[in-house]
Amino acid sequence: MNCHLCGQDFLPVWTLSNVWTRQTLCPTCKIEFVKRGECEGCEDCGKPGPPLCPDCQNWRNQGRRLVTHPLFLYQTQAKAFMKRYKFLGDTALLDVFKTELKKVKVKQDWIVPIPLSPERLGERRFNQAELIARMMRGRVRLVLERTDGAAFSHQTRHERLERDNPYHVIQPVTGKTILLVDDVYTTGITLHQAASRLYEAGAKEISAVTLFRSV
Amino acid sequence: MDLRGRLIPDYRIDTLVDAPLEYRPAVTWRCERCGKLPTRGPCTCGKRCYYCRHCLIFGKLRTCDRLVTDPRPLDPVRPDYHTELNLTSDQQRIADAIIRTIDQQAKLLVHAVCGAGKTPMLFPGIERALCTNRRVLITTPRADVVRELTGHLTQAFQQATIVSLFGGSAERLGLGDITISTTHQLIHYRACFDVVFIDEVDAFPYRTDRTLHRYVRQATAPGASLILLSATPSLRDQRLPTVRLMRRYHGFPLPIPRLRIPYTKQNIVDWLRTHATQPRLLFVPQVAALETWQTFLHQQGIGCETVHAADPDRVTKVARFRQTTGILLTTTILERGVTLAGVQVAVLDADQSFSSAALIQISGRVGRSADFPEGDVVFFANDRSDAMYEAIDHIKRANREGFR
Repeated sequence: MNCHLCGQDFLPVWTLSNVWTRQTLCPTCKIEFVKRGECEGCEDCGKPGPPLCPDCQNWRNQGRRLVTHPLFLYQTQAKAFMKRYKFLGDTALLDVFKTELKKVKVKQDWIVPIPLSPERLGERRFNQAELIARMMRGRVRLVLERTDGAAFSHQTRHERLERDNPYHVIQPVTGKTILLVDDVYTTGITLHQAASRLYEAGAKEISAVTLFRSV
Repeated sequence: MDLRGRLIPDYRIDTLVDAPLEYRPAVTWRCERCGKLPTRGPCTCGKRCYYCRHCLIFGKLRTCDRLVTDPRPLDPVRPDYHTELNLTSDQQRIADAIIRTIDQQAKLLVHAVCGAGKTPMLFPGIERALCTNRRVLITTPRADVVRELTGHLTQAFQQATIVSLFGGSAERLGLGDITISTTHQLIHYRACFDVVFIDEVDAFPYRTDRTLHRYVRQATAPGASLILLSATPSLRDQRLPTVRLMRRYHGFPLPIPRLRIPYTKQNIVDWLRTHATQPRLLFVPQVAALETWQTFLHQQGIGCETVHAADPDRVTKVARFRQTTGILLTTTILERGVTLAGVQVAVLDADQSFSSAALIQISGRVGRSADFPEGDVVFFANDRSDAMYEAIDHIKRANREGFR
């Protein structure tokens, strides 16, 4: 069997507890993904460290608390994964996180992935957050839309915070509980912007899941 | 942008092309670029869209993409003559065989020992090809070998345009009279080379990866002559018509590896101290072993450097090692294509994961220059493996054949 990420041949170890699961990663690649437990670190964004990180304290002071559950830490192997998945466009690679994403308990009414701008979508031809959302058990609704197309990964934190909110809601969401989904949580600005637009449109309760939390 | 002889995805075209272009689908039931089976993937095109996972690093190809080529014929090749060579009679014999193969448009395997002087033997053949209007390709799986060959060929052929292609080279999608390329880069070329030399045919990954064989096959024009070069050809390659050269160009025999079974760490320290005046290469079986040996040698007061395949400054480290008489710890990446004057070689844990071909190549690093035709090769091991004895047997047999 070949590892989905590094392509190396490996022998899966079958035990009674995992006979029905797909083993897609070789052991060396697998241990590189550090799982984010729910107990340690910041209780709002999952950042390793104190129980409430300064950023989240800031959001709380503004009255814009958003509880986010990252599944993994964004470290070397995770970066290699994102490079292949998002920037080279290897969408089948997401299979690696299939079992983890299926395990996410979705009690909310709708799962809402963070959208891409039309220009970026035309370039990439898939929305990486939407694919993550569709892999989870729940009802996916594309109620958000993004208008501007500012290059994203190259902005500093300051630029990101200063930017106007590019999202707007295109379907009625009144009274719905919503789970936002994104690929990487870096500053949290994206998720908070999307959440504030959804609250404005009348959503009842919003929380978020991201695949990675950058450290 | 000249697209004759190339086949690239249409989104790669960056400048305007004023030529009748030929488009074809990028992914049908297989990937039209690399030939592997595609995978279903989400796409905004709205149809059932498949993409190829295997050649993804060359740019994603989907069912809704197109490949583009320019069907016009290529420019004729400029004839060129190589600078003066002094080949030994043995080398001349091989060079004549290569010329004959090029004239007959046939296939040939050149089985020449490490340090036999394979590169200069190619020059008469390349000259013949260029003079009969045929485009030459020299391809090899290793980027280091490409860099080294480019240096040799630019010196030998002054008039011909020489293009060297490897991952990250500046001459992307170039096509010269002589093209020197890694096998991977040939994925963008279609039916444009009339004489193909494959250096180090048995090197990783060309040995195991059949898609690389396909890239080479697609890049060769119909009726091309194919010349394989190796010191340790596989049995499969040896079915081709073969010429053998079992003698080094300076006429000295190959150094025969010594065995040290069992060994202690102290033996290695002693060995390093006895050869303190010369550069020393230590080969280890895994990347993980590099660090343990480095820390051990540091404790003994011996400074050394390490290189492995994923090392970012691998090229500079090897270049620095060429000038000094230091110690370099390395994995099998330096087993081929490097010539270091007066180097001494030790293989640590030679019984572990070294194939006999790798051991023969490693032993072939020693005594390559005419100034230092002899040297020491030691296999340190705590167990016996077939590969070690096969390698020694091969080297001994090569010496016997070369000095009959």
